[in-house]
Amino acid sequence: MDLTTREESGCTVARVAGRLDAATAPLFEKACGEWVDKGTKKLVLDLSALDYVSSAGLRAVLVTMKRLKSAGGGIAVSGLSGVVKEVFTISGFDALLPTRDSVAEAIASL
Amino acid sequence: MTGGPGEAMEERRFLADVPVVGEAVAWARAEADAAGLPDARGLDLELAVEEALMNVCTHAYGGRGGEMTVRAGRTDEGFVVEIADSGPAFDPLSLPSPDTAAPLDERRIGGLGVLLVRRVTDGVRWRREAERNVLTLVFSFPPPSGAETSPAGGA
Repeated sequence: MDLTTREESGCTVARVAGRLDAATAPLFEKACGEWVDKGTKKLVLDLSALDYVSSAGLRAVLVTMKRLKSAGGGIAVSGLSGVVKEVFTISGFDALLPTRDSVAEAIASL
Repeated sequence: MTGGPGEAMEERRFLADVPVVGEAVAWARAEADAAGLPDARGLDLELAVEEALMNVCTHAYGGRGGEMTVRAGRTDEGFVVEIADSGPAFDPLSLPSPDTAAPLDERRIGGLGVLLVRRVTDGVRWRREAERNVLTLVFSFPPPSGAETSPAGGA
């Protein structure tokens, strides 16, 4: 997993590339926790370069979503495709948070 | 590839420990690739195997540690992965499906792994055999060209 972040229009935009699996999900969850601690309220996950996600990755997204909701913010994702899109659909996560084609649209949805 | 279909399966034993799951998943994927399972199904296979192994690691031995056995190979059914543990009898397929329409506050991750396993495989079954839980995951090979059926739904 490669994680790069930037601030844009009041959102933290995190590009998550590679694999979000049992091995990497705890690192991702920890990074999300640090952004929330530093004051991030709106988080955009750019998943256009994510090849794989399992329920371990969904768990990290869910935990972070709940924290952000209590802080008055939320998560949106962009760039779902392939097996990642399949997992978001099967799990119903595509109904829990805004899913958009582009980062700009995801930012606008928050 | 000698003998009957069952004998074409390879077997590896792993410590039932979360950090080992990636290695076991990679081994099963390599076996599937070697058997000629189409690349498009490879990530589905990795997902189903990871979810099944994570269930073994986190539930089968109640924190006491143990072993998990992974068998993989081509059979008459398709590419098959069998995951076995020696924990108490437990059929993960007996769990109710999670509510994937629940609002955020009521969402839980528990059960999602099994749901994903059901949805990305072409068949999954559990049996208790020789004091072991055995979960069988089946991945069909595509039908011969010209056939119309498409279990993957073309998504």
